[in-house]
Amino acid sequence: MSLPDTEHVPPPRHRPQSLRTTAVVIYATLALLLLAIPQAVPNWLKGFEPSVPQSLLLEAALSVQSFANRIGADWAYHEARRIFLDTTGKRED
Amino acid sequence: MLFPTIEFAIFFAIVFPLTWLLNDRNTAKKWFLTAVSYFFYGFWSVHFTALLFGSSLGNFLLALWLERLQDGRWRRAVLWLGIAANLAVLGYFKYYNFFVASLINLMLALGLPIELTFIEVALPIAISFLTFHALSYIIDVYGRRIKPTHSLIDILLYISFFPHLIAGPIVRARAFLEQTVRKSDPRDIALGLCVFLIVGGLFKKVIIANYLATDFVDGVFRSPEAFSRLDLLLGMYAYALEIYCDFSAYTDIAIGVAMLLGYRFPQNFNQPYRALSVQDFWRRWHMTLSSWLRDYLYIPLGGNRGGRLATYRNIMITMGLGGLWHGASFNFVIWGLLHGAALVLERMLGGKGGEEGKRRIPAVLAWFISFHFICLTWVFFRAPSLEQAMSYLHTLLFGDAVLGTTMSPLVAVVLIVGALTQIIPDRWFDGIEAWYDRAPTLVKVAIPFVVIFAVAVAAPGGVPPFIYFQF
Repeated sequence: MSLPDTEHVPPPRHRPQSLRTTAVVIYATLALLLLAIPQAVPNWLKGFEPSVPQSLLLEAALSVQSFANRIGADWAYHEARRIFLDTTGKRED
Repeated sequence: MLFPTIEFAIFFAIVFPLTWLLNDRNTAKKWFLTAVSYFFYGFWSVHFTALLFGSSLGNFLLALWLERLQDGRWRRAVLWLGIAANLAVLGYFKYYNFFVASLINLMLALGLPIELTFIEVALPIAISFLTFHALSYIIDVYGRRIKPTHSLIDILLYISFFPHLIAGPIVRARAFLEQTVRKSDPRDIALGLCVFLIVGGLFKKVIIANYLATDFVDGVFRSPEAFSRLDLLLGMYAYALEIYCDFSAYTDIAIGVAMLLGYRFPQNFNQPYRALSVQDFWRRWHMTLSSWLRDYLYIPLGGNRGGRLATYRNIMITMGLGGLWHGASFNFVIWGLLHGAALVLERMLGGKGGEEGKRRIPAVLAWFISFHFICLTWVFFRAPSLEQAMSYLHTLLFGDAVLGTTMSPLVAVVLIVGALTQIIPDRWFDGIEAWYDRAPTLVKVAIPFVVIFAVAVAAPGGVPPFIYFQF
């Protein structure tokens, strides 16, 4: 039983990136997803027991959703999802 | 808290900046990461966080005790005390009912019926992984391969660190602890690799593993006699890809998330279905478990130092226990023993390491035999009982309906894409990562966004837990 050495973690081969670039990538990606699929967060929040923080967060998420709706940011998701469901014959759960 | 969920995205969006803000205060950073790791674990069960803490504290104190003792009988006794305590906790929660049921059945078969009580206890998630982390620490301290840390927080963080806590990879104490003594370099983040691991992991889990499971594999394994032989053959292939995509997705995301926080984990998978032998498979599949079993079980048993028969015995014990580690079921033991038998056979045919035998047959044939053996053994791993596994194999070999399949075009496409994960050469991935790291920031943002967006478009309704969570 001979195996590669998994005890010592090899340094990754990469061109190092700064924390700033990394943070921009993480938060910009999350923000874009929030706008492109804006119903996800409200749907998730609706699964929690009603409470003050839950209703505040839900209100904020619904505002984002209506904003995304107004500017048409969620159009691509709905269209792509419809095409996917039509093509595969699957149905929304 | 599953990785591909909104709660984890929010959790990580908060943890990431705070971790880096505390980077200049290493102790505070470790306390913070430990606290959020306990929160992460507490999402499943708050009271089992006490078990996590107790295990960490116990092993921390035991390692300090080992450090103070001179080599000899007492020191060995303390090590065994630690091993027994860790295994007792694992045994109580995971194997007690299995052993009781096995003993009752055995005594019944011998005509000596006995009455033993079963216990009703929930299985703490990740208990197998945290036990292996703890054992690696005290065994390495005993072997003087590492000095025990005098800082409790180091051990609390090592055992509970949320990226590896639930389903690995199994990180050796030495590899992790040496990263806790210094601050991370904020100018040295392997962003391309992290993005690639995380979005690739999401795709493998949410699309490939989920569709294969829900739209095909679950059905054929539930009632194999209702399907054709072709379906069962495809079901076997599909499960092989499902478990690979499910488990490797988890560890890929874990490695990527840890790296974004400044910690490096070892690689856990390397295109395992390219293997040309079973030995080669274990060099590519769950590599951190394979090396753990080699270093903490196979070699202490004697490894290959005691002649042929002793080597074969040690392989069978290691693989049998490796199988049992996956769960309290004879199916897992059989799965492990079958792999052990194949490793022994490869050694018998090909000398030490099976290398000579590998060269005797063409590579394509070696791959074909190895791949189908591995797929057949997955039937024991996946089937809910031994009877179901035998029914699956019986129908696969002797079923009335030969051709015709219930596999949908979507599942067929997913199966082909899953197979590509084994075929695409490593250098392509390296090339994509290097290109990503050189790309402008706009492209750096666009790539993960587009991939996650596409995953969301094609995702099934809910995301079931990762298969390895139960282990």
